[in-house]
Amino acid sequence: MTQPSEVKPKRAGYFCVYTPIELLAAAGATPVRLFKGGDADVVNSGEVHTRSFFCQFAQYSVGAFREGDPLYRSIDKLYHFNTCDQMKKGVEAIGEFFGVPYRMLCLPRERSRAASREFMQREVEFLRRDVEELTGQAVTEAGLREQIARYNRARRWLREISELRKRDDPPLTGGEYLELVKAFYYLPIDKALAAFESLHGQLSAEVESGDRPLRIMVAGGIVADGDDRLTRLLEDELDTRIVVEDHCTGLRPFYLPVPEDRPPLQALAEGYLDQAPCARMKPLSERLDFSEQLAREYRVDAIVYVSLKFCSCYAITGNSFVKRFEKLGIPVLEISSDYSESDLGQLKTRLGAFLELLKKGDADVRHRAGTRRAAVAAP
Amino acid sequence: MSVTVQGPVVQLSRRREHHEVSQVDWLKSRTGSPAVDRIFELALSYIQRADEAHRQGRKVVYGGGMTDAPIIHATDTFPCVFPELGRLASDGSVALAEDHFRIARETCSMVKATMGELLKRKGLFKRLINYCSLCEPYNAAFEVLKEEGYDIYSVDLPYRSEGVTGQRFEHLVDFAEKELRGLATWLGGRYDEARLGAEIRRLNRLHAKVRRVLALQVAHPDYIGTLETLFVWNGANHNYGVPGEYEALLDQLIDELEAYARRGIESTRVPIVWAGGRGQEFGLYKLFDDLGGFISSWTMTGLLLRDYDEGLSPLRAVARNTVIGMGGPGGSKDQLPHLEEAVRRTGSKGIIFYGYFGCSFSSVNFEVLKKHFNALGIPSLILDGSFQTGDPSGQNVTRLKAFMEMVQ
Ligand code: SF4
Ligand code: SF4
Repeated sequence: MTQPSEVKPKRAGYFCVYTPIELLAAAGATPVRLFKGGDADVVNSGEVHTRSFFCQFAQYSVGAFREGDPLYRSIDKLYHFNTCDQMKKGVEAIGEFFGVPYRMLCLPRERSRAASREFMQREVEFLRRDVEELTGQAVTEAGLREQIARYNRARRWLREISELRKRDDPPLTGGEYLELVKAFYYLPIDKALAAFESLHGQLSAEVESGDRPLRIMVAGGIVADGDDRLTRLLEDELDTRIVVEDHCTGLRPFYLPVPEDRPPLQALAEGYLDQAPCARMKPLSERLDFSEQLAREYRVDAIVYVSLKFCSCYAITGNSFVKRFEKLGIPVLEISSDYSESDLGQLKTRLGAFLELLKKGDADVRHRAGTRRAAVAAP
Repeated sequence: MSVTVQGPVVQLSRRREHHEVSQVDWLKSRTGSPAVDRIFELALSYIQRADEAHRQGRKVVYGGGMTDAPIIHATDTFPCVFPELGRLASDGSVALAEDHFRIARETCSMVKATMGELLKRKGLFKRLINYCSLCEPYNAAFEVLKEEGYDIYSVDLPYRSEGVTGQRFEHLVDFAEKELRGLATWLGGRYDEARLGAEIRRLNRLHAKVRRVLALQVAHPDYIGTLETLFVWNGANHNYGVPGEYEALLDQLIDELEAYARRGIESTRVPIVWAGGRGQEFGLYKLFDDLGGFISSWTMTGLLLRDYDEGLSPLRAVARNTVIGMGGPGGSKDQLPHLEEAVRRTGSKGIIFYGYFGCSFSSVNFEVLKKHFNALGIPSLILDGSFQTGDPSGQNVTRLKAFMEMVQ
């Protein structure tokens, strides 16, 4: 007979940060966030099932299953809270064309309505039943509380490490911070916790150099694992420092913890709805308020707002974002990007021009080239 | 005795080629059916009448073309559906949206056309209903529109994915019911169950009449053409703002179609099932007729003409139909039973999947459905449309012609 310790834990895959991973873990599954991207060949492969006018991240996700990426193919079941049309249809395509079992759940947008909160809690209960069935292990209240506390500790570390970037000369780069985010999603949580704790100690001890590089916030849609062109350009080639991210693979999902003072399923429902919002949430003004709060907290000099082509959530709301920061006098460069090689040259030219303007203090510039535009307002 | 005519009757009074016709011209022309002519007039004057209702102090809202219709009518609100705005818009509206809202070019052109029109109309009535989970670009666009002073109520619809039944389905309906109660309150200040019940019964009666028109048209497709049919069922929920007159026109059209049927004229037209949205690529429908085809079934009618369950409380009945018909628009395979049944029932020779370029969900749906019909040996064609009130795109014309040649 197989001993329970010999049974390989089930791997529960998910894409978006609205999936309560504590619940997956409490049922004995290994939560695996699938957020690779950046490779045009994999995107092209996914396009076979999505057609061309589809978000590149969602296309990549489909393509990774089609190409047999071992991480993606190791998934026993996908769990998806319906964040946006493209991702939900991407999940359905993965189910249909590659036979991957999935469970689709609903995610309210009007997060402050009482009905939404109740509904979300029931969706979380459905998730619990489903993942229990997958693993054959019941979720206990104590076990779930423990997972919530554990993941909150990790969130806290990531927030505290990020806060070190509030210094004039941050002890870690934006690129390095994204590596820590990967650790959160890819490593067993206890390993990640230990690493974060020791790293925080080391980084806090670093002495400030007195330099003050140009401080950039990167905001907008997902910056996938593998889509590091922007980060490299900004930090390695253009000598600026990304001090904070307002996107779902940077600081944003770690900013607020899941509450620990209420019944755990309710806590998950409320905690996930109340997290720093993605652009798919309503009202948009709350999302912009959060972006503004981050920009002020981290004293950013400028913002690079990126939306992937065909991402309605971030592309359509981009102008509202730019307008908000125009009022505040913080320059924004808005970029519509994809994973193609041809995009890289353009990206470089536009970033270079934007930073040039910033350095010269040349303000009040607003220009467009196709769907790409820069908006620089007078500070 | 039966007579076979070579050309379709609708073409007798419409000799122009598809590429010479603008949408407005088409609606102004005579069809040979007095009832349809009047429905065209109602379609043409629809937005003006909504404006007039607003000037006279009536409640007017952008919305009401879907399963929410009973709620709108029951709160004495004039339903002004925003896709109609898009339909009557011009390329200028698209450009205006791109410029003013700086919306990316690749965004669905229907959304941009609507945004452009709403921007031009912002001095008029400002209330709009949005259905979350229905369309991602609209979701985002309407948030942006709030900044122009629009008062937007978002009904936070749940997404009904594939295979959702039983307890979980009812749980989605519970949530939709609460959201729709919120809508009724937003619209009318209070929720009047008796009024809603009466509206449900009225709309059920009306839907039955529209279904009768569609059945007669499938049996005798030469009396009214594809676009005519589209404009008839298009009003099934909003009734072009004149419920009584719209119902009377349905009765009149049924009489006309029955009289035509008695003439025993056989048709040579090829039936094709239309899956996907009602595109605004107006000339494409006309091309269908010109190529000797006709649309025998529309996915949208399967969703919109569903009877409300009179055995339930009225709000529950609306919520149920909303989750079935608008919850998403549902998992990719959602339309399979409807499409299969439509092909069987009408003896259709193929399926056209029509979605807008940039649509956030239809592309995967079509790939999934096409795979299924390929396996059954039923020909199908995916057309990527765009907002075009005049000519269809050259590529779509070529592809549709080739497809019709193949199935004929
Ligand atoms: S929010 Fe945008 S980037 Fe993220 S999956 Fe959806 S469409 Fe893609
Ligand atoms: S075609 Fe698709 S994206 Fe465009 S308006 Fe319709 S549902 Fe929305």
